[in-house]
Amino acid sequence: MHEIIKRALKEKRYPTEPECRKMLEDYNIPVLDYRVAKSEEEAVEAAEELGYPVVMKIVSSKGVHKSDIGGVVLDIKSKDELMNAFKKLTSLSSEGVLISPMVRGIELFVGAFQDEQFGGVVAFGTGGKFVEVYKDVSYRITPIDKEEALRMMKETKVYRILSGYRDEKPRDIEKIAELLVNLSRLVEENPEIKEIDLNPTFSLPEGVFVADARFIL
Amino acid sequence: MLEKMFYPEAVAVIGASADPRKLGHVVLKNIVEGGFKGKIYPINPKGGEILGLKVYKSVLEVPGEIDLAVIIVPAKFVPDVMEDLGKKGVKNAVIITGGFREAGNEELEEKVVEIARKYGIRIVGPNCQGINNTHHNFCASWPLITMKGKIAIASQSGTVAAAMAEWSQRDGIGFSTFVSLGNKADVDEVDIINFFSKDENTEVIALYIEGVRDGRKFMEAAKKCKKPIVVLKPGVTERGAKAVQSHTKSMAGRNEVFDAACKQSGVIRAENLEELYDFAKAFAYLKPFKGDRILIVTSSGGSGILAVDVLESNGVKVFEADEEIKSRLKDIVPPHGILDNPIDLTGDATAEMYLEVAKATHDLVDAFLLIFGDPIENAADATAEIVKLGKTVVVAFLGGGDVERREVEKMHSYGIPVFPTPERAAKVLVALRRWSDA
Repeated sequence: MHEIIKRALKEKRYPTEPECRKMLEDYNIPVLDYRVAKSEEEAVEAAEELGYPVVMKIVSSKGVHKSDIGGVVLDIKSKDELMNAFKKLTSLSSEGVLISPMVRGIELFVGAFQDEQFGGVVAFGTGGKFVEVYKDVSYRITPIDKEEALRMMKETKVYRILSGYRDEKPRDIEKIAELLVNLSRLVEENPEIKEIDLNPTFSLPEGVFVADARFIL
Repeated sequence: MLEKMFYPEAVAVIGASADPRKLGHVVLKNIVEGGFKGKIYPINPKGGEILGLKVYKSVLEVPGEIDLAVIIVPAKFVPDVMEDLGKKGVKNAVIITGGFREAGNEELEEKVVEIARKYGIRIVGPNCQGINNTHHNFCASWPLITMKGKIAIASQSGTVAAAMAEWSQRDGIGFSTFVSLGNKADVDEVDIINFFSKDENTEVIALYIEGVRDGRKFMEAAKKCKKPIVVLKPGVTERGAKAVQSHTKSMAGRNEVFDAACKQSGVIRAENLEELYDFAKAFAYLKPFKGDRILIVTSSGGSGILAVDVLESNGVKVFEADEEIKSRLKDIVPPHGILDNPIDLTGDATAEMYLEVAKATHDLVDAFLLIFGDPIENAADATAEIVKLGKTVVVAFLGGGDVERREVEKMHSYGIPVFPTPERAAKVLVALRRWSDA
């Protein structure tokens, strides 16, 4: 069991997004660049380092759907907008904010959960807000190897887009498969995590990056 | 371990009855009339004689050893019966009686299981329709079916199993063993896979299950099993899953997860009862194949198209006949026929034409789909010759009247499965091909 999970369990809370990201990085799962800020000054500094536009969201140990409670502000283009967003978000949670570059790419859903009958399961498909509507998701029981990850990806519609569709350049499919294999390992080694949502995960021409992470224990 | 459950030498029928309307009579009668060669001990506290057999008041009075007890007494008496079995040293029980978990009596079922564990008794059921091993002439079930075949049928629904058994009889292909699993208090899908993977009379395992007790063990058993396993698992919709809960108190689980488990462990998933039977029948006699070159030979243009649509929409590309194939067939296909894939021999088709086509092309294809869409005489013998060419051959026969009935019967007697529509035959091809990928 990972230290972060141990600590969260001991403190009877969910891991925060920075903790989730830290853990993903320990499993070689690439996450989008980010900074955590507790004060307005830190937030401004972080945004300048990352470069506008940025995304700002609350840090919470309650496992909430951040966007459902207005805890995410997208496409912040200036210092003024940033300061407004900071005020708004810190009124929702006192644990600070997470700032990350605003990117656009193919939105993927990557997730995992513990099934009552089969144990660890990983999921992959079309991401974004409408995951449940499109239902373009395929599943595998963990552990999986790279071949299985590729087979799983090929079952989805988004695979066609990732392979190069109209103006979308072909993406590094192997990298995404590796991400799924690493996630499978994370799930196998940390069965205490009931659910993992990495939505969205962006496929960009330069690689694949997790842009949001939520673990439920 | 379950050898004596399915191949008993001595069986006790507990709750045997002289009243022909009662299950306790029907089951005993089927064991007797099915030609069971072992010892049969009817048990009933009233004693006397049933069907010419001496009735014992309790298993404890039976002089010899008992391998299996078939229990048909009311649920509340089952724990006492189990205690007696334990004392007698009986290690296998089929509990046909209902009125346990499915009726809200979880405690009673748990009590029965507890007694079974104490004495090391294995249980099929409760709330089931018994077992029938045709190769052992042992029908502790109903209806009485004795036709020997290669399909093991295990089902949480008695009717589903019985329907499969009856279809197999009607087709003249029979089955190896029929197991009605009922509430699966003990023997479950994992035990079934493990046992029938080694059963010499079984070539394919067909399962109707409403839930899986231990998903990982199921996958492990399925991966280890060298024989094809076909599974029908309902409860795909939310409402269906709820109905599963009230039928056998199984956990339907998430459909997409079960689907993934099947894919990862090489289990063929049937979408409906018809497919469960078709796939079981196909895998019992046909060999899976690799490759995409399926040549469709038909006497009916429409039927050929129906098959093409099913193949294509299930991800199997239907290749276009190339020049090589066309040149080899131009003298065989009638002038008004269609020289492509499907090859349409038209209503003028004869069985000999099918054979000629197959002989001319078998080295260029991976499998044949033969559609007999007219009363084509000698189709069975021609097909038997085509099978000898070594490629997988799937047959659909329809619209052939009396000739069809005769030829289909003949094909089944040759061990060539025939399907009644081009779509069902095409679906079988999809399954055979998919399995070879797994």
